[in-house]
Amino acid sequence: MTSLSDDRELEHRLARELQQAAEYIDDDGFTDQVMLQLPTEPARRPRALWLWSLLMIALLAGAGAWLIIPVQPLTTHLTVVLMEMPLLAWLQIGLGLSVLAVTGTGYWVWREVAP
Amino acid sequence: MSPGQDPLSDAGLIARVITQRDPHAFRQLVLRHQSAVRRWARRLSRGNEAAADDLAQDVFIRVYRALPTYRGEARFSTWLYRITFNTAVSQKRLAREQWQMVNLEEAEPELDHSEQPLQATEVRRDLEAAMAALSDPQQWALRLNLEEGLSHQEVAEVMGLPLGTVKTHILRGKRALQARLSPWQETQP
Repeated sequence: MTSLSDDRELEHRLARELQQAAEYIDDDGFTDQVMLQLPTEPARRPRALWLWSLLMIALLAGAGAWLIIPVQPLTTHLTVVLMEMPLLAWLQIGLGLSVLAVTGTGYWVWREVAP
Repeated sequence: MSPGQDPLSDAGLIARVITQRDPHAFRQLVLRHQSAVRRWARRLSRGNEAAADDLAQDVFIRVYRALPTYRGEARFSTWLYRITFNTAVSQKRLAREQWQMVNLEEAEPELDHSEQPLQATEVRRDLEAAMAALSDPQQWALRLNLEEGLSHQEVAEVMGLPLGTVKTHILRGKRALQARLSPWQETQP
């Protein structure tokens, strides 16, 4: 005889009855319907997409710098440019980096929580 | 696919979908899990089979899109149930805020003192009736825990509720079932 006052026994009995009673639903064309509705765009790894986008931005930025600053006096120019840069420009760079950090964190949180 | 991984396991099929974009592998995953997902979709659609199948189809399309983000930290079935619940919530079939509420005034069901021993079919029928008398979150939490074998933590992840709330739902649901099914004491397991 089972005693339902025993919590473990109750759990065991309920689990067994619920599992036995769980109805199996025949496929009946359901899977075919799903396959027909799958997006044609193949699934991609978001992380790879993210890294690819960052790489492209870095390459574009590098190419831009290459065109603007001549190669020969690059280091000299860079030092002068950095020393003479107005406070506003530093603030803009800082703001840009903050936006980048917040976006990155937002993306990471989304990736952790989704779907 | 990592070396030694069974190509027909869930993990093996998922790896084939991600790396080779193999539709046959995804088809196998749908075939394997369609019954459980549709069963849950019916519960979450309150028995409306057509609406439930629409919901289940949306679930598998979301799964296909999100598969590259699946990192294997949770069981695939747990992840699948989480997407099922999230899809139902996003389609406004469910209002998650209502699951958070735990009614402290909830009346305890009275013990059934009938002396008649129960037959197996009666046990099942009585269990379904007793389950139907529970609140939705109690019933879902109990089913995920006992029927699907998910831990309390996994149930909390699937339902998107704090662990403490899930534990309360499960405890109260079990107490209510215990009271309603006391004639089970007279039956052999």
